[in-house]
Amino acid sequence: MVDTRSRRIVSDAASLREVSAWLRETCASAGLPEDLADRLELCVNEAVANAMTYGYRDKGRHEIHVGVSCENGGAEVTLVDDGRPFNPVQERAPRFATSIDAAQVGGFGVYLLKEFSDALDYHRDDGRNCLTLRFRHRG
Amino acid sequence: MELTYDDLEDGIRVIKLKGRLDLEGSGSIDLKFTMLTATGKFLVVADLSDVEFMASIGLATLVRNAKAARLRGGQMVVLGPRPNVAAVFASTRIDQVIPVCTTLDEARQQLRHPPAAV
Repeated sequence: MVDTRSRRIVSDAASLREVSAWLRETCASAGLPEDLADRLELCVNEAVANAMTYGYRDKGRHEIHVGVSCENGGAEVTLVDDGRPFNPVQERAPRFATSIDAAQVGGFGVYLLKEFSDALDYHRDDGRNCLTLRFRHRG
Repeated sequence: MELTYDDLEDGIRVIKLKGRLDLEGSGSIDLKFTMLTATGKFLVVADLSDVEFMASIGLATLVRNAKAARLRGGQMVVLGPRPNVAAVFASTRIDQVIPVCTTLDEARQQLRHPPAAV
């Protein structure tokens, strides 16, 4: 049985927390394993925080649409925002340091998004970024 | 997010974080954390045992403060991250530049024997 839910949030930190909690409840309702829910929560946080931080020139409130569909022990999340074009698929990998002196501060958000999801699709449609993330159980 | 700290008798500062190290959480503790690694003790344990979630912005806060401790001739180590938080350290390989410890004794050992300067 497919459990599909969606909601719209505004682009602020409090709304990001609310949607994180909602996603965790959704995963729990669908009986998804905790590690999958952990990865899903992290990826959505990274994608939405990225849109909020870099997607808009103004400081106004923008809507972000979050959809989640749970089926067969996995989940699919869709995120749609009207920010500047941003394709995470094209982002380069970060630099991995061998000492704290050389370590970069920041720059791991998109990398984590790719590492912790199992599939990632992006397209631009009618002035909107459309990102689909898929998660399956990693035995 | 809550931040408290304790200066131990052996010169180590334990900074304890509680809550979510996300956009909101990192912003709420950033200034205080920076002050605690920029002044006073420079052997620092960041106790993450009560951190229930960490995003890349939280990781950036920790890396920035670890670098600050190092610049002062000291070191920062991380203590007791939960599995989801530990996974972020491992995936980004930051656990290879900020030691991740499971006990306070292990953290003390790391701080007493820091890596050689690069």
